[in-house]
Amino acid sequence: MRFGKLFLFAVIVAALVLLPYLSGRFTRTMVSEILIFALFALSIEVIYGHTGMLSFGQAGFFGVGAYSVALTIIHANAGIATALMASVVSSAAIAVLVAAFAVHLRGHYFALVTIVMGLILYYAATGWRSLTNAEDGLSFSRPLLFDSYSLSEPLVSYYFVLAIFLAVFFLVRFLLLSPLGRIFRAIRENEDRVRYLGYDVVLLKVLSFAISGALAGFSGGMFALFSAYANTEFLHWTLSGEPVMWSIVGGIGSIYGPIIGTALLLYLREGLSSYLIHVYPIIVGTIIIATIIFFPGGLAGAIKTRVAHVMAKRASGK
Amino acid sequence: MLETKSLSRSFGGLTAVSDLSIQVPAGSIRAIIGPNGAGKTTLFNLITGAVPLTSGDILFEGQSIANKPAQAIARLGISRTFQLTSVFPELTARENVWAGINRVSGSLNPLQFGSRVRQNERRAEDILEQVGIAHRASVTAKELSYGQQRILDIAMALSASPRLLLLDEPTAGLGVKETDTMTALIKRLGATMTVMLIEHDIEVVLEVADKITVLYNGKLLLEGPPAEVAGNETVQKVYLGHQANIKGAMTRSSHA
Repeated sequence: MRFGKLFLFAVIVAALVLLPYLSGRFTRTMVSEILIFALFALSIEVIYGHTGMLSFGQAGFFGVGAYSVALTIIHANAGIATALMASVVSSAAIAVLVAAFAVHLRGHYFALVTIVMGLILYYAATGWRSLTNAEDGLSFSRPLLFDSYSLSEPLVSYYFVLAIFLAVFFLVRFLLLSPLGRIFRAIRENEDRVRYLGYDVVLLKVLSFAISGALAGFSGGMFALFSAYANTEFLHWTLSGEPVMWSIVGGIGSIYGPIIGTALLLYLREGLSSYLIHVYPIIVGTIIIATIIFFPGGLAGAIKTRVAHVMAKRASGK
Repeated sequence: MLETKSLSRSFGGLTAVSDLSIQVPAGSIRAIIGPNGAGKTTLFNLITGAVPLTSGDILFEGQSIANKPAQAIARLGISRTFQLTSVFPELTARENVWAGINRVSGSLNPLQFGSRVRQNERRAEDILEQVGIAHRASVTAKELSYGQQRILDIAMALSASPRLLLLDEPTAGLGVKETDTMTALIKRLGATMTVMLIEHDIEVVLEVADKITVLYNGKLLLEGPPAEVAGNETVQKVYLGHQANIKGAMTRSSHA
């Protein structure tokens, strides 16, 4: 099984590496966006899938991350690494600030605070026009990568996004499989018991929200770099719902689920939009309702159950 | 080991624990009994920091722990189980117990080496072995039988290396055989740490307890060795009602 999983992973990575040579601009751009937004969806996996706290304010972090990149490049002449670092630090800082009081709330109340946080960040950004240029946004020219490669080159841009995605994916996977990730899951299951085992649950929840915020901010920063642009729509609350929907469809509680969900729904949106833009919300809504009813564990959960079933059948056949 | 001084806790107009002073010496097994609403679980909640005190003090090994946060009290060496089984349902039995061990070993560092994690997992398996459910280590807690979940609950409390263990109705809902297993386990634990237990099964109480504290309406009604408490008429009246026969239970227990 472990070998099978590794093989599948190698095939997917090989396909992603070869993709620019096998397909055109449209697919390449779409896959790049999927990879960036998959990181955005992983931020939901950290805070909700693992720690059990639902956040509907992730677009706030996404937008803050995007503006951090735009502003540091425009005003401080920052390089790519510095700009991305700024997106991580600024969004994590806001997450810590909000979490310091929000993590004392549970369930729906926590989710409500994250909605309010998202709204405050959105209206602050649209109101502070001198800094953000509101919906007109900020365009900027991207610094060179390693002082020699231009992100305007389609191949450079694609491989840059792919490399960053793989690096961050492995980092998040490592974190979620580590003792810290395991305690996050314990908090999701029964936070009182974690407290009675002697852990500082408040601190751990703040940490989880900070990691999630940093990840969402980083994906926003990546998206700004990818499009050489940031505007206040990046902070819009409707965008906050997207990673939650992708994660539900792909499967909450699995690191692969949010990625599968993001790929499927963004592919659908891009594939359909030119013909059926008006019915897209209806189709996505139907998929989400069907997933919740028929596959509560999402696609990743359904695949896992199916594989376990086949393995059990094979084992009993022996 | 543990001492409460004029401990009180009121919820609105209701006084759940009132002016309670008890002493539990190290190395003993103390049973807390009393009818429903006597304040037994509130006493545990006060000791473990789940609810704040209204007045009084609680000393653990001579140090006041009154109104300290629950996690700080756990870190001093007080562990508890719950009336309603409290485990991590989606985590394996091994992971459930690992959580406490990992806290004691002081590391949440995601960069800690895999060998450290495995070492703590092996210690978790040792504890599961000690309580008799090692063969279920890789099963998620929700898949365990009810009795096994109650035992896992205790294993989790043990994982935090307590010097004082509080068991809230450990045999509630268990069958006869499982109750026997649990009774033997409590006796074994009593040999290595101080145990306080809330228990309704009077046979279990008489078999394991060194001393019994009887609470009634949040107040201390009587305290003494099992034989003395069992023979007390007031206890029989308030706790067991007129038909029950605590002496009979004691006889059965001594024959068992």
